[in-house]
Amino acid sequence: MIALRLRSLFRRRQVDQELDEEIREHLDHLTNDYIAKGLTPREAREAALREFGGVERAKENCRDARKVDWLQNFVQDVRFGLRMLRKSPGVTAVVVIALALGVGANTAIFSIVDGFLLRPLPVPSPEQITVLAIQQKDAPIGSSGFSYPEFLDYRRQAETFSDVFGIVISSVQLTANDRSDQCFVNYVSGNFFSALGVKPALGRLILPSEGETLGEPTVVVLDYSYWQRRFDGDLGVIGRRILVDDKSATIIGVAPRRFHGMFPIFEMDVYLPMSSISLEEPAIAFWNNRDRRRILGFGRLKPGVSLREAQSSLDVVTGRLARQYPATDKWFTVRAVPEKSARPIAYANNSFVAISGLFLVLAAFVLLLACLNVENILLARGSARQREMGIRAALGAGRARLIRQVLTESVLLAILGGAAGIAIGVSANRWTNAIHVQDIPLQLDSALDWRAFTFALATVLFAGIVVGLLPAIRASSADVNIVLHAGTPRSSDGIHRPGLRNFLIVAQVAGSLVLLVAAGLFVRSLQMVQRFDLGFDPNHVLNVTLDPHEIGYDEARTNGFYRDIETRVRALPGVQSASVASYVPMGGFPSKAAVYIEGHPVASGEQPLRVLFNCVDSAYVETMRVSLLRGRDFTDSDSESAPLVAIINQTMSHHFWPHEDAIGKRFSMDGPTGPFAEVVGMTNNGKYQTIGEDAQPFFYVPPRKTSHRNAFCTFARSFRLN
Amino acid sequence: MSKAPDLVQGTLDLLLMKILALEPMNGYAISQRLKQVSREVLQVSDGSLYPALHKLEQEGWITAEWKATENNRRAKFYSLTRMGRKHLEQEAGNWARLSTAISRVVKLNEV
Repeated sequence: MIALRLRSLFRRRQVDQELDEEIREHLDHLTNDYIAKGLTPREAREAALREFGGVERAKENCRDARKVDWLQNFVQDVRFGLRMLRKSPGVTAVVVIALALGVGANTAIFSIVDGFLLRPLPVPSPEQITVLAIQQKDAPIGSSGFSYPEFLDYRRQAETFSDVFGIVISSVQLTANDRSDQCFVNYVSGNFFSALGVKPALGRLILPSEGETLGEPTVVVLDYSYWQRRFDGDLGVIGRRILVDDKSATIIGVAPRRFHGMFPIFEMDVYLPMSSISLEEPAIAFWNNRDRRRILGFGRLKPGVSLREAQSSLDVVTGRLARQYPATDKWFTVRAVPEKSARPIAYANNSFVAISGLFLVLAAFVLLLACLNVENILLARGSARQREMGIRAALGAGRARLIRQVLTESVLLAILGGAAGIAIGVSANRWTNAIHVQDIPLQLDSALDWRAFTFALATVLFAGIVVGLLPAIRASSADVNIVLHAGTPRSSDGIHRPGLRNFLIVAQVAGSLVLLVAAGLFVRSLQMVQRFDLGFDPNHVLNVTLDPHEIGYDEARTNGFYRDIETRVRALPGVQSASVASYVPMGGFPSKAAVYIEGHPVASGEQPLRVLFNCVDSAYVETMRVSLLRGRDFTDSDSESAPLVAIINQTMSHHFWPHEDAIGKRFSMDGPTGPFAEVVGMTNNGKYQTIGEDAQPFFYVPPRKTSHRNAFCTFARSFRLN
Repeated sequence: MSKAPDLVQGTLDLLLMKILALEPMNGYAISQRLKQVSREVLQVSDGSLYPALHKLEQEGWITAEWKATENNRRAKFYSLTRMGRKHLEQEAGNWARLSTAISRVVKLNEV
């Protein structure tokens, strides 16, 4: 059936020819019959034509039969469908709204997920981009990076990559237009933009020749949305001189609009060449020290190279470097991971993917519920229209015709609902895109690109057909006689048991309950997280992070600076207490030290445990309201004088001195021979990095002449306001 | 022969389907069989046969296939589909009921 209709549409000539042949055959047969009866060929022919009737008219009627069926019926169906929808505005409105919510939710969430996970990087041949995930044996995943000399080695030696590029993520102070703000920066290798194949939106980008020699002028490339926000999209920014970390720099260009660096979920404000990292740390150390690992590495595969080949070539280089530099490069492996599989960041476990999957499933659930709802409504309406269907059947409509008509109505409803849904989805996305949380560089750039749109369309059609099919079949199977002779349309006649409608209602209620429970769980989790015991009291605390080293203070001057500030802040009205610490709990990048217990030398072949710590002054415990379970707090004399002291938390006490009182015990953070610090106090356990972390050991030490590798300390000051 | 009765379109469909239910045949054979079985009462012009056949094909009640005949020529053979068979049963039933009802009324004796 479909074949003939399609053929009549696309291969009309062939169908016409076939018809001609058929009729010709028929005429020939008739002619032969007449000849057999004794007529001459000519008379036979005429008689045959007479018997046949009008040949041309027959052909035309056939053609009409085909045409009328296809297009005219379709238009008829659509017109009638629209009329029916207008006649029952209430039902139409309910159905459209239900479908709109379902489609809208799906479109919105899909767009977001698409932006993170599915959309390829906005660069040519994005499938060639891989993450070079470097991993130290036994270290937690994601804690390693490349050192600059190592990065150079890989760039020179990895043959299967047309380009190897790297970035360092950090933050800088940008001063322009009489304002300073903290920006997130990508220090990029010179070939970053060229390897990616990105073209500037304005000005130019960092060139391969720049960026890797010391002493070069600092050039700045702005991120597009940063340029809009901070400079109001001013076209005159190119060439403007600004200050980056108090050093002079020039803006040379703006990155294209949809480009957000290697991590689409993070908002990067500026791109600086890697040579400018001298702003942050001694350049010599960065360039030459194989142990200073801050670079995140990426590569672009040569065309046609498989991931396995790339991995083997990387392994070759890794092996070579391990032999050449056993002290620094030995326990590292480098894995090539396609960029798309490494979202949102290469080193995260894929809970992100699971979470996105969860949200998509929830959204699909909402749509399913909407469809069930609509299905029920349409079934109800279907049985009310049985008389109409019966009359149509009596007039000669085939079953397929009836089904098609009802289905057209459902698809119309679905399209209306879908259009509304897409509108809802787009405005929801506009709202989520505008979410710009202060200090957290998260961004959601979702747009209704063709992928999301196709998804929405598919959802809509699916909904329309699936939802409409059953009511259509039901409606069209009306038995003509029963329906025409029945007095009133009954909602359940002998043929249609109410079982299905009841099932749908049960399914809807069950589904809604599931969604409600899920929503409730989310709300509860959020509430619980807010009430978590962090080990300190974050309420009424303000903190400021400063780095005087960024403006050239040396150590003595820095100490004086902080003492001065602390005194003055304490004198402010409304301030209860103030303190200084080396990192903000839950907010920064804490330092770790290997802990050596006095009297318990580390067994050979084993590594001492590395424990997080914070350098805090004597007012910290009081200011942050850390609860001191045993022993005493630091006093001012502790920071100056000789005996080193420390305050540990419960987990550390249990770990190193399981059944003893830790107070009075000693440990060293510098080496197995000391100098040793004496434990003077024990605090409760708290959260130090993330809310979800397991209990981990932690200790506090007073600020001291640090022999530690961090060349700079960022101090946070907390003071409590009444 | 008295004036041949007019045939309603729906009834023609019924006749065609019934004929095809017995065996698949081509257009010429159908028209011959129709004339034969109805003993020449039913006059269906061959011209109106083909549009009816095409419509039946559109609805999916019959399907057509080009086959070789004797004489080495090819002809389009129609046959009834499963859906068509079901539809035929329905229509035949309706027709039977209708004609019985009509006959009963007509046979009523005048009082």
